[in-house]
This record gives sequence, C-alpha cells and structure tokens, in this order.
Amino acid sequence: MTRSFLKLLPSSETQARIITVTTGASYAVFPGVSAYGLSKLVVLQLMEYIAAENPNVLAVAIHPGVIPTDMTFDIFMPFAQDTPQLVGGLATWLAAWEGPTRDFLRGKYVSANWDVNELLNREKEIVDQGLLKLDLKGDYGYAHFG
Amino acid sequence: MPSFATTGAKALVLVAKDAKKLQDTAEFVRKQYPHVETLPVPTDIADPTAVAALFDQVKEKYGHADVLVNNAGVAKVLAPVKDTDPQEWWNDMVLWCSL
Repeated sequence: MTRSFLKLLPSSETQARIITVTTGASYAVFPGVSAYGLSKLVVLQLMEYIAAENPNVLAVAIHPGVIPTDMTFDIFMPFAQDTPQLVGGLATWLAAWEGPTRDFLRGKYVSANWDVNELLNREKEIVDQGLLKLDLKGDYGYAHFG
Repeated sequence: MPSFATTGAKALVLVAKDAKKLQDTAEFVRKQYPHVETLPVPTDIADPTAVAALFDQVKEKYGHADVLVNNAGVAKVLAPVKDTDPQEWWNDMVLWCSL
C-alpha cells in the first residue's frame, strides 16, 4: 500500500501524508502479544524510513489509545477508555494542510492521548533531543573510549 | 472515517477485505457527508496484484492520493511465543505486508 501510494505521487516534490497506526505495545513488551507487538514495531520504524527517504512526505506512526472494539485483547479491556473520535482527531490534525507545521513530527511516534498544542510547544525539545523515536537505551559509543 | 469526512476531503478511497462492511461504510459517508465522494474498493492488501489494481483505479479517477492511512491489523494470537502456532503467529506478524 505504502509503496504503491508513493509511486503514484506525480513528483518527488508532491506533498503527501502517511499516517500509520502503531501501538504502545510496539516498544513495550506485554508477554503474549508478540506477533501484534512486533508487527507494529516494524511499521513504527518503517515510518522513520519513509520519512528519511521521502522529504516530501509527512510519515507518522500513531498510537490510537486503547479503544474497545471487537479486536481488543481481553487483557486490555479494563483500560479501553478511549474513543474512535480521539484517534480520528489526531489523524486529521496530522494530515491537515493548514495551520502550524507538523514537519518536526516526521518519522516519529505520536499518541492520541497527548495534547497536540503541548506537542507544538515542545517542538524544540523534541527535535533537539531526538525524542519520540526508537533508540537503544544505555551509555555506549565513542565517548567511552577516552 | 467520520473524522476524515468532516475535514472537507474531496474523496475517500475506502479499502478493506470485507466488501459488505466497505459498502456499509461508503453508504454511511454518502448519507452523512453527501459532498464527499467515496470509492470503496474491496482489497486484500497482502495481495500485490490486488493492491496494484486498487491504485490503478485511484490513478484513473483521481491521478494520485494525498493521504494514506495504514490502519490494517490482525491480532488473533495471544500467547507466549513458545505456545504459539508458527503459521498463525506469522500471519499476525505480516501486517507489514501493507508496505
């Protein structure tokens, strides 16, 4: 889908948006949901690849919250307090053409439970510190070689 | 779906495996948002031929699409890895076929 969508864009400058639904279970381990979690981990990282490879595309991975649907795992049902309108609001806000730039969210993870105005206010922090993307925790690298 | 319909989109291309549910969604959009065009295309997104045919339709009708929402997902397997059926686990995992 993503590949075909990109190939159909008239030029490499055509502005476009790709909103991919991921989940908190993509980076947090809940024993028993490996297939679901790993598939969503792949699409989360994929959005960072798409953003890096296509400067004209705002590619974002979104966590929709926990919504009671017929595919919600039983173990998550007590936490299923969010609504389809919430994730719909986030997706349309991200996909919009007008208003403040959301470019700093390209390739990143955004949760429907977050306040978008707070996100806008924290743009500098998010960009400078490389937040809202996958990384490996720990202290390592060149700085440790004296 | 209703969220995108309210934004003033010219058209919504609706993609899912279940043709009946797709039609129901298209009908809902047509009734509630009559100024929004709908193009329901039942598609198995894991089938490259079907996806190519879908985008042929998009190209013919609209030239290209501006926004793609990847919302597909199956989540049937709920068990520690060691207790899962390999094929079922893999079927859940290959969501990334939407690439």
